[in-house]
Amino acid sequence: MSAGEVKKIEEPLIFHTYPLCKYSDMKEEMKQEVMEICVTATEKYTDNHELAARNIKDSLDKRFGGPFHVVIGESYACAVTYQEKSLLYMYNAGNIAILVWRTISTF
Amino acid sequence: MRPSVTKRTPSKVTELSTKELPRHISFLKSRVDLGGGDMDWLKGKVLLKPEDQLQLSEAELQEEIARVLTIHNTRVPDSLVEWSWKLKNFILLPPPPHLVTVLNVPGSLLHKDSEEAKIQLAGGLVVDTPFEETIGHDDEEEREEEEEEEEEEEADIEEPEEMKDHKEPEHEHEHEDEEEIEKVKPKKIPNQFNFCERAALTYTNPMREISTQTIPPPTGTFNTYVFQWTIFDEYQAYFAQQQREKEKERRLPVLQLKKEDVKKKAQIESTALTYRMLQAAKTLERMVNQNIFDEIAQDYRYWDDPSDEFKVGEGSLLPLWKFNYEKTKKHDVTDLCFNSRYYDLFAVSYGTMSFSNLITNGTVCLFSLKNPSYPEWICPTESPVMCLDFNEQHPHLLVIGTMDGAIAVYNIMLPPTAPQYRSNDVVQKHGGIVWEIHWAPDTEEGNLAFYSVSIDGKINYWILSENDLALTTVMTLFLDRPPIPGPDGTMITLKGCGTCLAFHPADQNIFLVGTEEGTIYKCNTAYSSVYMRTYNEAHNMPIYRIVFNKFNSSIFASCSGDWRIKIWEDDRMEPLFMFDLGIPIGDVQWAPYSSTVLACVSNDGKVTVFDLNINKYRPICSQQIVSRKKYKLTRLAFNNKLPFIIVGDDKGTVNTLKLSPNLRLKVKPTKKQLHLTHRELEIMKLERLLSFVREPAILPPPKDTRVET
Repeated sequence: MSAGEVKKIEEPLIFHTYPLCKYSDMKEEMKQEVMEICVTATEKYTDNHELAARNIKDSLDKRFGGPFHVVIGESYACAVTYQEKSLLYMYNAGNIAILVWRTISTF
Repeated sequence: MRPSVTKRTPSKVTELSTKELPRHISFLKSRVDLGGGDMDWLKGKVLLKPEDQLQLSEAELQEEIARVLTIHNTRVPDSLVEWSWKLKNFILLPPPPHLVTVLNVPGSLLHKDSEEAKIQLAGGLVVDTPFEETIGHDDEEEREEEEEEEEEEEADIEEPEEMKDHKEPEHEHEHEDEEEIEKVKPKKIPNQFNFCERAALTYTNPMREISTQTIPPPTGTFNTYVFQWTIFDEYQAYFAQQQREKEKERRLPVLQLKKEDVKKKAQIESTALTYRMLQAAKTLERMVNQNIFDEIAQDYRYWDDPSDEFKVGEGSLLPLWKFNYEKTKKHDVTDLCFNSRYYDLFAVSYGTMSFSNLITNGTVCLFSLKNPSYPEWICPTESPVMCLDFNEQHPHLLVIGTMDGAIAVYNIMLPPTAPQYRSNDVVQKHGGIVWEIHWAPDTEEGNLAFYSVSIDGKINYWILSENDLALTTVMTLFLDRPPIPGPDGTMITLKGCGTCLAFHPADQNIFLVGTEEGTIYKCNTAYSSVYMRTYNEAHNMPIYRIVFNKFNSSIFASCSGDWRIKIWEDDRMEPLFMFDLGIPIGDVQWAPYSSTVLACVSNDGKVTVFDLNINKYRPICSQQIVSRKKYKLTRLAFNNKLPFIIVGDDKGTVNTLKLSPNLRLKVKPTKKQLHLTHRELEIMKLERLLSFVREPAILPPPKDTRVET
């Protein structure tokens, strides 16, 4: 009987909390900086996405200029038009998705 | 309308006037008094009276004549008419109105007791509401009415539900009353004085010229959706990929890509890109050159001098391209060598032949016939390059010897930045100019090797090992003279100065060395101190070249600065042929296609071609290639495949010359010889020729005959 038994090995679930960049068309330096800003903001306001988004937006506007837009949420869908070389889509802390982009400001 | 005296109402007027009269008169009097008082010092006024003035009595003068202002406007026409087409008659128009509006200002003031004011005070609502009517009434009235209504309603409700308590509706009623009062509470009405305008100012984009418009920055669109499980899956996938990469790294720790490697890779990629660009540019360059030199290219392949048919024993050379490189215009062409793999590729070494020359650098250039305007490969060197050689088996390897005694091996597939191998400047070095260099067959271990001969009297054997050059001195050319005393008492054995080197085509151990003294030594690599044979005073001046015949390896030719070309047979101390051109001869070469054809270049700018089979005494072609005064020809090389030669001069130019048909005659096999190959035929041709000139080893002296006169 023991031969027929198949021992099920359940792999322990690993929860990943590190930032994971899903898509970005920024330059490498800018991307690193933006990711850092996003990570610090979301870590600071873990339970308030709105504040975190505002924080990210403010610091990005200050750092890179231009109207940045930030979406933070656990599940959403979106379709955005963005100025090229200014989009970052990343996951952080294993459960939130952060979308950062810039629109064209001056005409 | 003039003021008219109305006679119908005199009584009334008089009554009125009598009432007011006293005041009026007194007023008049005072005026008169005043006037008299003021005027009496003046001259009395004399009133002029018209003669026909009506004389009136006192009573008549006292009579009051009242004047009445009527609204009758005299300026207005009283009987306006208009032609009526309808009635075919003039019709009277109604008189125009007497009213003239001068100023019309609608007032905004309301009387406190007016209806409108009441409405406003009562917290008047919008006019169109259904409450309009009721609001118009007094508060009291309104209330009464409502109460009545309420009562009626109550009555209606009470009819079906008499059982209900009577207090409750009353209470409700009171409550509603209170609400009503609250509603009726006067509100502030917006009017001229209680009004606040609100507006928003938007940006007014200034007008701009269209020429200032720029293309808006590029935009993109991004669509995505995210759920908790997608995030989870992404993390899992990323983690799995990381694990895989880690495993790979564990397996191939050598191939671990570091940052430097990534950089290197990028660099390689960029160089690969530029390489492709260069390839394209090169193709284009060749196409342009082919177009420019189209005629020459056609001649090079297809043109044969038709006049050769009528000239017996004479040929000509057709100049084709000229190759030069801007930076080596002052250099001498010191050596030429065709590549064994690509027949249209040849290497040219630029150095200097005269030792008073101030040139201190050299260049190696590879030219292709496909691009006559620019070298394919340019390698500048620190010292003038004196000789070079392509490896037969490895056509990408080029060995050069320089004036300072150094030698270097280049891989021409790589960019000409640094040599693959380079002799050590201190230990492995010739003492002087390296005059000739030749690849040797590979060693038993499979290493490449070559020989070099230098002016310091040494013949060196070099082996290319993995990283460096190994050097063996094969031979030192000691002169067969007693040593002379040196300056510090030592004895010095004099050495010959090697200028050229030729290996026996059949036996790779045997080689010939020519020296500046004009001696040819036949040596063997096996014995480093003994000469196999010495051709003493083969020439009287430095020997510039020794070449073995391509078909018969016992025949060799030598040329020298003593104006002579000599053709020797092995083991024979005297030359078989000797040609004196009357000018120093820079180079001599056997033709690869014929056993009896050889060509030489001389200092007067001529190329001379001999065919011993046709003429044993005179050249079959001697042609001026470059100007006699300006140029000297230095080197020559036959192409192995096509009938043309390249000739280098002392101004860095390489001329290409096509051999006419008479210069490349082939042996016509007789009927018996049809089975023989070309090579065998050529050998036979040479043998037959030699049998005429070979003198028997012992010549029987001719008998003395006395001729009697």
